[in-house]
Amino acid sequence: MNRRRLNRARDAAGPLLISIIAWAVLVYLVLPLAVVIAISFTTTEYLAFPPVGFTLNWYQRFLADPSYVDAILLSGRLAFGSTLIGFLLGVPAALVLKRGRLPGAQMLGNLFLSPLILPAIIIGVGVLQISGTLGFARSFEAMLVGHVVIILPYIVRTTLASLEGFDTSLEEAAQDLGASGFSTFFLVTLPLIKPGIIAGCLFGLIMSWIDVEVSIFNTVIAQSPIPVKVFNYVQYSVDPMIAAVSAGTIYIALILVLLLDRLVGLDKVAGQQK
Amino acid sequence: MPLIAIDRVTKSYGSLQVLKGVSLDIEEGEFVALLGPSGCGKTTLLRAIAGFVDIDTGTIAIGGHSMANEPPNRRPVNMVFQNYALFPHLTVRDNVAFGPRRNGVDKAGIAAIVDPALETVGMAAYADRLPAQLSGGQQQRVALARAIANKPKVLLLDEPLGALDLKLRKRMQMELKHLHQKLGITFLFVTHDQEEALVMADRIVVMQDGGIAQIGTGEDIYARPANRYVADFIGEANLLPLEASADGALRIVGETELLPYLAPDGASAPTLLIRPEEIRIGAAPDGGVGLSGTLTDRVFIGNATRLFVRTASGQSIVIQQAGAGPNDALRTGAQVRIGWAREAARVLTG
Amino acid sequence: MHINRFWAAILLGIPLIYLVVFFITPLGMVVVDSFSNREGELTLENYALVLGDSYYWRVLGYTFWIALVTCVATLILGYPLAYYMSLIERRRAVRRLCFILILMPLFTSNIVRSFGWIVLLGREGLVNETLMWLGIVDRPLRLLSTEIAIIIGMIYVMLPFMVLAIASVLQNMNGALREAARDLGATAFSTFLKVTLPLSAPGIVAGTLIVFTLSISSYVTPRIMSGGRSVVSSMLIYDQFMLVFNPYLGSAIAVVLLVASFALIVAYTLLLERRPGRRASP
Repeated sequence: MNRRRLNRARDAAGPLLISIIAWAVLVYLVLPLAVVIAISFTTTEYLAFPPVGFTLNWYQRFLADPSYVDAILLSGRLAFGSTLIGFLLGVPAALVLKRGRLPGAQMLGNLFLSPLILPAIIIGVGVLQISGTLGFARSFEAMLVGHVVIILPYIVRTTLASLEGFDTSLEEAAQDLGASGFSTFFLVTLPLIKPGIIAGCLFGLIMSWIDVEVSIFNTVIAQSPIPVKVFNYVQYSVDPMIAAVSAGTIYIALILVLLLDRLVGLDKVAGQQK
Repeated sequence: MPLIAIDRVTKSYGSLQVLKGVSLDIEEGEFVALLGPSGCGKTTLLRAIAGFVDIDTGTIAIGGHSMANEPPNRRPVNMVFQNYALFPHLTVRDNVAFGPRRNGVDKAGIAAIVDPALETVGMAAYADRLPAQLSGGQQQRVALARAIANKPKVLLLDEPLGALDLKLRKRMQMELKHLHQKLGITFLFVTHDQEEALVMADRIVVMQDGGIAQIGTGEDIYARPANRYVADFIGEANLLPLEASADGALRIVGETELLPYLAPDGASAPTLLIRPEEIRIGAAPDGGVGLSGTLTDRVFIGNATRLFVRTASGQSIVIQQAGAGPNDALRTGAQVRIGWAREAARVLTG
Repeated sequence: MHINRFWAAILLGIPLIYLVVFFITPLGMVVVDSFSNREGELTLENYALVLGDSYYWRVLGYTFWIALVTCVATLILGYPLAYYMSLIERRRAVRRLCFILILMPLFTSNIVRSFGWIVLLGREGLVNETLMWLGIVDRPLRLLSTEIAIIIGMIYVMLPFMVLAIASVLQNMNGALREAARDLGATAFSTFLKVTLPLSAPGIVAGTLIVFTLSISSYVTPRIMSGGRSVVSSMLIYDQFMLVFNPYLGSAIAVVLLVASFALIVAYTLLLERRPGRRASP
């Protein structure tokens, strides 16, 4: 009797211990972000944690500074632009790779995914070289083509994954009922792989939004995306205004996470991450 | 002119030939079953008719028109898929309306088709649900409604009841039979379940290894199977190997008694088919066949009792008797005589 | 759905051309540059410099050392979290909260995340305050611009990748297998050791590969956390390109980094494949 109770206690202790570690790790994951948000409200002129008082002063100051607003708008244009191009290139490519019955489709698929494992800094350097050769070095366009390279794998991979589990008898049923190949795609295939495409595009959008490594080689100081601007600033000084700017990007991350959860479901997305 | 004319159709996947020159005519309004074990080519043949399999040689014509260059969406057939293939993102109503919409039916026309179709299968109350909110049997009905909404000349059914439990399957068998009578269109269905084929089909096509072993009504095939394979596949069969004596008389391998059957011409290894319910315990009837053996097992299966008898030569023979009572004095290990009337057994050559 | 050859050629051809022009060609140019000098001649002098100077070797070694430590630490921290959210926690809402908390850092720029650590690790930061309050130290430690800071920052950045890689495998694991192990008399711990852990190996392999490759090439986090001293290879590459304006040497360092990391990854997968019963492919 005692022994059984002991065994049961031991069986319960394991999960309890794991749960405690898990929550400690979760706290570790949230802490730096929470700290950045907290100090963005401080009334002091220097970084103070815990914050002293509460003010939205720093947010006002950064929103009043056109160089920060421009940087955010530039990042937004980059993120949406590269995601749109990535979508237009990546989704058709994934469709052909999965359905085209091509010899070597597997190898070509790996080529599309390879920017994922290549150091982003080398992609940044490479884009600097080619854009120099083609005559648009250090420009919005140079960053755009670089961002498309780094986000294309996300879109291709999630599209491939959603086609992987696709029940082809649904497409046969559509054709059997009179749908042409074209309308089968738009009425059956596309609606069913849409969550995968949305997940891939949202990931792509984020990867562009937070990128430093590719942008930093392909921009000039006067025209920096927001992460590069923060990066250049933080290396030399830190103050509550930069905390407010950083906190702003965290709010956007939260919105995107919630959007992803709403549109696709986070547990489904997680399996397809990197 | 038959509604479906299949002529010497072949199909190979690499070196594997799955259809070896199949020819088959199906008349308008028939209910035909393609019956066989997995890998016999029945599903490939059905999918070839639907247009999902490109055949290598031969022709398939429906209503006198060759289907050679017709894609699946332009063929006058509709299919009930094995796992129903209901569009998960569309409601029941939109699933059923999918076909008519593709054919350009207007809004009023759609309602005039969809509602009766759902009514027919008893699913009118579920029109606004999504497939995931339905049970297996309900999904089955929606798949049926969707397939008949296009008013096809032929309804193709690929193992339509395979995913249902036994009780539901039996009920759906009768419902499909009634639906067929009501609609009057041709049904062609694929199954590996001989009972399903016997219950529903007017005509059964038994397929064997990429070809057709026998075509006939259920009674035909049960009573007069063309070969051992068919006899074994439809119903239960005792198949006893035979050998011919010097003067041409037959006997069961290992037994001494000669049988009152003649060796067919050119058969190297004939087999005797005797159904379990045709055998009785006791002396053989006049002119019949009698054997001796030992009762090894008796099993009560509800409406009948099965007795297993091992003959002197080591053959195991199954006997089925109605009810529980007869011969309940017999214990396993008892020596018994068994026998059957001359015309109850058949000599098979294939 | 069948795609005919004409459309297949167009739909796949354009993305392929894009990759060739903006991904493969640039990489080729980096390789060519690494064999060139300012006069445009082909030369091995860049490699002679990189491979002949023990400084570059030390930096390369340190890069791999940081990546290795990060890999091991994220595995040790990440596995319990992945296990908890996949197999212990049953409430959907809590699982969802876990996902949000893991994805939030991932969706935030490395620079913002490192910024948070600068505040936490400062002389009067939360970490020092806590250590002093607990009485572990009596005066603030210098944490910023140390190896500890770099490693804490790297672990922080890489942890979500490891957790997600392992969780995706654990989530799809057949629960009956663990029940069968318990039914056959295994304790909870030996069930984990003999069933759960081996079956989650693909997730561990995928996670360690991702974390290792990303760590080797990480630039922002080491730059910020080290206080700017060039300590890892990616920082050397940046400096050569953007500060010293010697893209030829920078390219050579990049190629060496690439080849070395590729060699390590191949060695790792070969090692895993040689063990019976293990599938190394992520």
